[in-house]
Amino acid sequence: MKKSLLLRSTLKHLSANSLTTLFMCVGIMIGVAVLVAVIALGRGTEARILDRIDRVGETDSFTIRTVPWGLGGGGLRDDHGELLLSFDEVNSLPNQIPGIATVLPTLNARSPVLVGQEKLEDIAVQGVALNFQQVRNINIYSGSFFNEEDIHSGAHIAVIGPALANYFFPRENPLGKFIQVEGMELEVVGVLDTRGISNSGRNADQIVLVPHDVFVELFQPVGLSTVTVTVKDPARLEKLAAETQNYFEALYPGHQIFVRYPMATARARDEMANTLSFYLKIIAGTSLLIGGTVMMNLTNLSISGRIREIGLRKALGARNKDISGQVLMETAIISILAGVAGIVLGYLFANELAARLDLRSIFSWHAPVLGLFFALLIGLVFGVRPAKRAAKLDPVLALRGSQQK
Amino acid sequence: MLFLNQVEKVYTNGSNRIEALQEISLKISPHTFLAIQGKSGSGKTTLLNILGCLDRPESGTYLIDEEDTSLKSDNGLAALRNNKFGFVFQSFNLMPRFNALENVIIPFLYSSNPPGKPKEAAQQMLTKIGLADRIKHLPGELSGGQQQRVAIARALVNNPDVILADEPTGALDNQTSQEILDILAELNSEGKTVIIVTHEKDIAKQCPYVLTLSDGRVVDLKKPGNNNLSNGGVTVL
Repeated sequence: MKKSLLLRSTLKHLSANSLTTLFMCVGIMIGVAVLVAVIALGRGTEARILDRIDRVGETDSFTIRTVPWGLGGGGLRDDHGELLLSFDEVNSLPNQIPGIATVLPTLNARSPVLVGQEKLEDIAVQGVALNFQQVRNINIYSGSFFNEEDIHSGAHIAVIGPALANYFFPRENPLGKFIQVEGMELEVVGVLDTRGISNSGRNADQIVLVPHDVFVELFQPVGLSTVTVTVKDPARLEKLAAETQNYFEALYPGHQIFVRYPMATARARDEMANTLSFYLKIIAGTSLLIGGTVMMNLTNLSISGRIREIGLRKALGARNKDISGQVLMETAIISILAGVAGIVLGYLFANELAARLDLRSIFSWHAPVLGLFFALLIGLVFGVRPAKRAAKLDPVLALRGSQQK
Repeated sequence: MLFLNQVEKVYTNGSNRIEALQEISLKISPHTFLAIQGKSGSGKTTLLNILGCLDRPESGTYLIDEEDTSLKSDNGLAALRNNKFGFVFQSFNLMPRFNALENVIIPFLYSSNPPGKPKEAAQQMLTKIGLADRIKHLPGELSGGQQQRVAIARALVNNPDVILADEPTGALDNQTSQEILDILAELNSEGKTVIIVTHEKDIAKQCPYVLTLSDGRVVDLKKPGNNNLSNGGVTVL
């Protein structure tokens, strides 16, 4: 009975002073909104990174390269003209280092691609072996990937990225059509699923994949530039990558071998997202604190305007804790209102930001829960001072409407 | 029984010392109807505030039913204000946004033993005081006399022993003042102790006991004649 009466009288007071109530809400609302947006965008970014790792590379492989970034041309020769990363050396790797599951030599080149009069410059061409599809988690959108026979038959066929398919064959089925690379006609047998921008910033959808033997025929490479290595136990990925690097560097003294793991790149991105969300959290915290301070001052002001009422309540038997309880109830209600409004606003804000900045925002339950928790915490912490002040008012003076002797 | 012994109250206003009450020693028996009169600044409201436990004496003791109030905590005094005393003010002091019924319910909020059905209890009190048809009205929609009646209902709702009224008729016209005084007299005849502070001689002379204060001291106590013995009693010690 008492609680519902107290609640009703508090709500009455707040609605009668709706403008003050609104101002009290604003600061906390903004704080909660930023907090909720941070979480929603953070979750979205995280999900997107994981998603991209799944598509562009995966967690149990690393690559060894003779050039640090990008798609290098052919192989690398040492000072004596010896071939680095030769086929034989690479293929024997699983025997040299236990823990390595498969080795996948990738041949990379960049070349113009033609279809009739249409021409695209500087397109990535990769020569692949059979298990390329498994290693790279590549999905075929239409047609099929090379089978074992294709790899060894020397057939002039290609699997192309969706960007090329859209460019050259916008309104027709690319399967069975021909593209021209380095003067050779290649029949399109498959189109890859879209992968977007890779971690290295390339458009992974602008790509031509050809069988290993066809690549050799096209470019006459002298060695391998990139080898993708999968390991049996993903937990040992970094250790095995370092071992492999040491192995090759010992093999070719004076030459550097580069190792890259998609997970490491992803982790770096993760850290970037964490940094961003760290600063956004500071913003959220700051606005919550400002909101709390504003609310505290407005509550103080509202108490000053209600000194007679407080004196009266004391005359009618209100104890100090009844008065402070009433003030805390007010700040709690205000902060819950502000929290709810902030949660709604935060999601709208996150969605808007996600749409404009090509980010992703994901709803998760812990954002509103956290938002409400912080709003309430701020409401109570910053309500304590005004509440104590109200409770300490001298009843005789308060009844006269003054607070000081 | 309210018993004041050598009660003093001093206010300091900057370098000024204002001795609001000096050497007040009084005994007020149950069922007394007492008026406290005096000029402005004579200490009559201060005395009422101390009697009602809104204020504590500077020195001296104040016993309520033989309990020393100086030994009571603030919460203990709040409890006394809630159920031992009922306050009535000159300016009514009703909550403007609460209707009559809600105003009367307020003391239940702070009661350790509120009735099971507070609305019914408050409604009964308003009916008793003659406002059955006004329970949903806001104070602004009521006349001064009606507002003061709501305030009296609020003072009575926790069934206190003592009604303390500070200039209860100060804001009312003569006829309404008389009505309010009649209500207070009626409550006294039902057994309540009623203590009013007033500066109006017409009001004071209708009260059986009249205590006159001047500069914080008791200067006179009028008692009813032998042929007009009422309940209760006041003794200046």
